[in-house]
Amino acid sequence: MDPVLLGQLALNGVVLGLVYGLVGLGLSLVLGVMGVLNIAHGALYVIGGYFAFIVSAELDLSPILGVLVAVLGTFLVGVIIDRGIVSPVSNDPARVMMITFGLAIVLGQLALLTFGGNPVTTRPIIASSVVFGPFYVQSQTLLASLVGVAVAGLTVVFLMRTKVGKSMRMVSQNVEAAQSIGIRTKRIMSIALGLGSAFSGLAGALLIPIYLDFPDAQWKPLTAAFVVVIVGGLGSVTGSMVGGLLFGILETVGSYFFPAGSDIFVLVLIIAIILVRPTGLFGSKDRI
Amino acid sequence: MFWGMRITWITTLVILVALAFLPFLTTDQFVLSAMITVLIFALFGASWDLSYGVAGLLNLGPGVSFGVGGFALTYLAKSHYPPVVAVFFAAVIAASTGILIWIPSIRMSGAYLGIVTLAILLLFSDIALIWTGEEGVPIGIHYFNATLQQSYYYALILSGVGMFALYALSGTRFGLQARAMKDDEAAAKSISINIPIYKLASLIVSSFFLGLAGAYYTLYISNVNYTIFSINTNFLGVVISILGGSGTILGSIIGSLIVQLPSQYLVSYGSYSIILYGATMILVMLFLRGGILQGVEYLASKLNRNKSK
Amino acid sequence: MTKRFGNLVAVDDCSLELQENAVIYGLIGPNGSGKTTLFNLITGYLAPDSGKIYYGNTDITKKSAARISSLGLVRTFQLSRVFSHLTVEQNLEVARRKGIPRSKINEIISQFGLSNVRNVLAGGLSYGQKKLVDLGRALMMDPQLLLLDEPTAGVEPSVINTMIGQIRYARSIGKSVLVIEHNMNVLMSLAEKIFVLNGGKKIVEGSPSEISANQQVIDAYLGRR
Repeated sequence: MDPVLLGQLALNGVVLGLVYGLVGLGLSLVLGVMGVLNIAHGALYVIGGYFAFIVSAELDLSPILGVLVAVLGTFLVGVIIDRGIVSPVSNDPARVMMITFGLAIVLGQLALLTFGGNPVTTRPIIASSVVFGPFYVQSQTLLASLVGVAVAGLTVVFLMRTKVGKSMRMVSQNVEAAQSIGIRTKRIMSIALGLGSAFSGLAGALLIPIYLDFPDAQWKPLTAAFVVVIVGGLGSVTGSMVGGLLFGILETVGSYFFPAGSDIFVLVLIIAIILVRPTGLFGSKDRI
Repeated sequence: MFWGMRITWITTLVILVALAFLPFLTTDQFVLSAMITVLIFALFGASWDLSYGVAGLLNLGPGVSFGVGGFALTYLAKSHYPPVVAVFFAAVIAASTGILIWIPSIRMSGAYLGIVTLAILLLFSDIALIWTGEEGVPIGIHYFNATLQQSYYYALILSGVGMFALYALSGTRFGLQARAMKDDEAAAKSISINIPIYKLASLIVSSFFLGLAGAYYTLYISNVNYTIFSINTNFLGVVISILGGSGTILGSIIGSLIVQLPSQYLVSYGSYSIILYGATMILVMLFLRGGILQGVEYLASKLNRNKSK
Repeated sequence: MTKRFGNLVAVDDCSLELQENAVIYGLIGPNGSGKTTLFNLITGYLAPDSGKIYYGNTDITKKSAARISSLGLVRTFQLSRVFSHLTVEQNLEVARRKGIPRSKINEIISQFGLSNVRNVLAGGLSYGQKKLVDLGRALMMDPQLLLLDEPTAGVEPSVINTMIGQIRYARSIGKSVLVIEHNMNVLMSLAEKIFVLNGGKKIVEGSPSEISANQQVIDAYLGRR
């Protein structure tokens, strides 16, 4: 086994993994603050990609603008989803899962009808590669992973230092208690779902130049987010990133050796971890 | 017992009896084959309902058992077992997937279990793709020599017997205790309900009938490939059960008729029908949790109240 | 037994012995003294960090909650835990074990005054009725030892009377009862022997008159250690 090849695969995995960590962080945020699992989370990744596609490919504007529109757009979609169909039943996680399952199906189909089934792509923000010795990385992917790390860092600051962030942490621990001290929990939850969705959409918008976008693409980021949530546990931003790294590496190494079956490693991993440590490798039993 | 027992089983019986006369009323191939799919998926929904609506287990990947039943059937068919035997044993093999889903269900509940079961479904889809490729496994044309009418009656019998068997089970002591477990696990333990065993039993029975449906479906279309594990197929079975009425078991026949019949006619609008499924799930879960049968029950009780005035 | 939650020692080297049959024991102590934790340990909902639990000659320390209740050690919960989606009758039926006739359900329903809500979903009952269903369900198991966690908390006087009657009746047919109670009237009229916990430790045990005169008990309730 050529060490350079292995190193390259690992590097690819790390870089990609950090982006998946971002996606997972979004889901973890939602799960932590609202206690519910948004199965349409992967659909938001896809939608983010399509926003970027519309702005930078169809309207031929700057790809950076495309990413910004994707972030805002998916944030809004997240808020609408919360207001419309999640918050009425937020006390029943099983129901929310069913509803977001239905939503994921609907969104996937709408994307199919609007954009067709063929993969689409856009211009990258930086179209080049970065070379370190025998290894190389696409600049766009590197950019995406750096953005991922930056967002993760900002999230920590946000949760620890800002009023809204602190409110979120309180809501994640005890909704009633938070309400009784005057926190507008419904608003906080909408923001949480908006943010979580925006993280997913951001990742989608950043990666579309490299990995293309198509309606059925939603299940992979969703699986990645699952791994992050399960491996990373709740309440740990570091854990989320590590979970993402794990997914990324397994994905890239696995898909080199088993092109069609890279997911298998990942899925087996999820199942194995759940059996051994249901609260995740890093998580605590309480929420954030 | 639940959402007006009598309304439920009488309605179902009436529907099934009416369906028995269908081949005498029409020889339209399209209608009959559409109904076969409706019946098969009604069984799918009813089987899933046992593990979710009755026992409260959030298994979001019943497609696993359905698909395993399908694949098992093709291998049994290739080994030259007669169709009836093959379908039955395929279901037995599918029942073992219940154990696979049971393992995570002991330690986790709700959202996490939902994730794992979805992950298992995706896993099986990938494995099937790698193992059998896009063409999948065909069954020889001469294996199951049945006319459309015969296939229809087989489907009717399989589905009808299956649904009523599940329904009967849900009405036994086991069913009642499973419902108690769904309601409050801690309280159930305090009255000696062995939670892991009940979960296992629910999943195995549910998987058996799912496998039965999957095996017959595969027999009918003479082919199986990885798409039997698709999210859309999986979701279809779930939404049918929810629409009919979660926990009623028999509601699935109504759910299947309502969800599938229009889309069978709108085959050229396939994508729209899938949107319809998703939207149905959302709407039912938001506004009519107990599904159609809850609505019927509610109307019936209103009528009763008016009568007694 | 001892049980810790992180740094908190909820139950601290606490030992109880229920020596005789057909006795009503009381378990009291200020809030947070470890009473419910003790129940959870005994009935298999929590595992002790150290110590053992014997039911008769059987070591039940590591047995599951479902197994323990099938051995005749049945508990109720501090907050009512009825099966809300089942009717009152079904709540009782689901607890009926093999060998117990269906007629017992009718018995309990009439003795508890629940005849008019027999077919009502338990979720729709008043709190007092729910607690009656809890107790009735426990009795359906035909237990040898009943562990009742604050059965009268939050419940109206008429229901309290019914409960007291049922507890006394259980005792008269040979069952033992261990009751956690804050309502001193109820406790004093029912219990023949009382254990007092404070800070996870058993500080005193004795008859009701001994306990009510005991300075340590009074101090514990008034917050002095």
